[in-house]
Amino acid sequence: MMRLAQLSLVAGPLAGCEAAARPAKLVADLHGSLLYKREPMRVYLGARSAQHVTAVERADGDDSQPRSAKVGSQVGRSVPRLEGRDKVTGRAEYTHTMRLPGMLLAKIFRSTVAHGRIKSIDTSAAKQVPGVLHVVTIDDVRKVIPDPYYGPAFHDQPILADEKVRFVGEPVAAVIAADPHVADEAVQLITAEYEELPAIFDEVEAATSKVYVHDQLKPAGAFADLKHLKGIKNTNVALDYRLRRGDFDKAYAAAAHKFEHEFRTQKALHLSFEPFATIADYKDTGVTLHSSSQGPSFVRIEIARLLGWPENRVRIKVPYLGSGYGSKLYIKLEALGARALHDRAPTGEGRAHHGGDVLSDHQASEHVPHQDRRRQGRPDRRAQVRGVLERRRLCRHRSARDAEGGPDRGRSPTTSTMSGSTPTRSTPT
Amino acid sequence: VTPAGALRGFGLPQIAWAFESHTDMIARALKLDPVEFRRKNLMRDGGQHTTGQVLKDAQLERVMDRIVERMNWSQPFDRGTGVIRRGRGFGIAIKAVTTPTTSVAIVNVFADGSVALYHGTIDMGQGSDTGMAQIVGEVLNVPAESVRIVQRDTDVTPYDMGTLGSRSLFHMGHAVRRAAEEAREKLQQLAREVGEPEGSNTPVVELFKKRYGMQAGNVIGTGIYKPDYVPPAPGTGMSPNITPFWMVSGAGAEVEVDTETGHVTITKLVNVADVGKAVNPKIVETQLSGAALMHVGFTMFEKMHIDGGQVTNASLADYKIPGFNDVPVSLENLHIDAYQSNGPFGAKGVGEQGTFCVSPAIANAIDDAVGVRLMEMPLNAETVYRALRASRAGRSRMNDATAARTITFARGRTD
Repeated sequence: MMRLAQLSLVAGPLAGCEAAARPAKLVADLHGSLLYKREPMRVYLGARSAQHVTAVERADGDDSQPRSAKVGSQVGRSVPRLEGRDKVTGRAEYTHTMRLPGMLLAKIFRSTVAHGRIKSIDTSAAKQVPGVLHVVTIDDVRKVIPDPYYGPAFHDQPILADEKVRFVGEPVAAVIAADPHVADEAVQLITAEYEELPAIFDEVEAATSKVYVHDQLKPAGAFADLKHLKGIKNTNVALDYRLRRGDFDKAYAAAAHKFEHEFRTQKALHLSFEPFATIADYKDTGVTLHSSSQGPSFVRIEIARLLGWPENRVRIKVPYLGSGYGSKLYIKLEALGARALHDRAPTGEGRAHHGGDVLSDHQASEHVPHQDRRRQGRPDRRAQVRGVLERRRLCRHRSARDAEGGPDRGRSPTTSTMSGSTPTRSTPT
Repeated sequence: VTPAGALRGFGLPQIAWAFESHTDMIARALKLDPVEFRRKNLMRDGGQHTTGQVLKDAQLERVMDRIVERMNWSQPFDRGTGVIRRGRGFGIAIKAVTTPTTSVAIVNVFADGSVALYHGTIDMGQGSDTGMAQIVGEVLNVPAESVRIVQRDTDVTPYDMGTLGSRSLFHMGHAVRRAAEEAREKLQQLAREVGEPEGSNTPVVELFKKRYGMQAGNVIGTGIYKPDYVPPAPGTGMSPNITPFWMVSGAGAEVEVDTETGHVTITKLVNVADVGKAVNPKIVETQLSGAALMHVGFTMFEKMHIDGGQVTNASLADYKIPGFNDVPVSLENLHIDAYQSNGPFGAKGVGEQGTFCVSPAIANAIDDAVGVRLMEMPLNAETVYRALRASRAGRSRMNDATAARTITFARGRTD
């Protein structure tokens, strides 16, 4: 069905450029997509001339059509969303639904205690699961990224838990496999022992508590007003802005009426419909991260810093986002993605024990010239690792607390993309 | 686990919840009309913000007037006498934008005169691609629909600080405008180079053909924008230039409170904002309604329950967000006719504005209806019911209404 819609295009020459004097036409293609019938863009030289202004009245009440030329033809128009049709017909691309050839998946083993010293992490059983290519802890991270702390305001978040865990849900280990169910199963077999430490769950209490979330403050540099906090210890206060104007105490003392009220808000959640997702695609010339990010430029800079690479070897691609509301700002899963991509070539030992078959399928693929693989003495395949935080069961593990009562398999807590763990609000955002 | 972090409105909805409830309580205690009390104390253009900046292009009073008008505030209001009591409330707030931050954009004119825009603002549903295309179209005088938006790729699209805090239309909008203006200047230069006379009006494709002998080549315009800023003085936090623009937004709510169950129905919600010039009025409307409905959820029932640091309601079955039944019976999302003098084509950000005052407007309306003041969110049926039970005024109203009937309390969505 061909639909023709007359579009009255305005030709107000705004200091030089103008479209055709004739009205352009909106036409629908065979799939129903609205396309512009192309009218040549023109370049006008010289002073504005009345003959170039073709003011067209818009239809009453319909401001989706161009307005008269006087205030400009485009600003102030209710142009229908350019990508709207692609979205409602399921053609728009999102990271979460993206699949790359040969893609591996990472599933994350998370802390179930709010504050604790890691006594041990046992990944041996997970490594035995057929199909598991690698299980990564902070020790593996350090081999690639010696200083694995990241963040926009403070470099206070390790890529995986480092000696301590600081919130329930903190990533402690990651399992990498081609099959998400294999990775999921293996994550369930990881155990960790913690020496639990006192935790704080209230942000007001945190301001004066002797329980400190971070050993010292490490401002990242992105925010000028935090730089002076560098190296400060024994505090949970991450922003010390003070506004001082006039003499409040004096005015309040003299006031005829005094009102003091205290209001409280709850913890709420962004709850983007698209979960967090990152795909890391490694080549020797650089890395490409496909990510559901609200700030790809920041991600590029931060990944380059972590890897010690120049910015031009790090590429972040972001398709449309299934909303973010702030949750996908700065850097989230991407750091783990950058670490995980280094497992593109599991060690010989690792491959002998597990996952060799999965890997060999891809070794035969066309991604990498044969001689490259031989030269490197290892399967150099295009490896894509995707950190996925889909709704899943939080794996069981033996924390110090559980150890007392024995692991309670029926009680294992669940987590999902929407479970935010915020033991403290002292972490700046 | 979802990362903790910035959430649409970034602190302002929480502060507005406190100060707009507080202001309402003062007005009631002093037996003043909440609107008139605010009008007396409202900041106006030319006045000085607490941080020291002189207010400019912040249309607080006009926003308030529009809400009052849409609420019929001057007319008598039927508060009801039976089980269902009615009330109305109001709130207004301003917010600064994250600053100083940088945006860069590239406009590419192909040899046939078609145009592509390379920029780093992420379209996550807010309609930024459409708005940016309109700015390109405005400068180059081509239909916004004909502008190709290149998908975000840091190898291709230049630097942007991030899509956050309602900053994009202002910051990236300026960068896009400058990029398009530079492209326009280069096209004019090209026209002169190939010998076009003054007063000519030549299709771009002809210019490229003349210059390169065939349909070949590009014209590239770039634009960078970073606003002026003065950091706050240490110790006092004062600055003459803390933000390049102010967001102004207010809300008015009418509610019905079921005094037997504590259930609150929002019968009317009016959101009004000063967004400067609306680049795309329809998108402004949907941005305001989306933000306001999100905050209807935060105000009325959303809450993460946490036990020992573990979220215990971590599923969409246990953590409810607004559905169609939660949309106010009447929902108006309006912007006043305004102009931001330093904005791109008079525009400024809109993404967060609908979040500001939904919570205090509803709490103020509940107080107006049943005489109880809620100071902790969410304002779910259980909270309202308990507050009614705890207050003498509320108890008498409940007793009036229910007589000797047994109260059956529907827990519904409150847990």
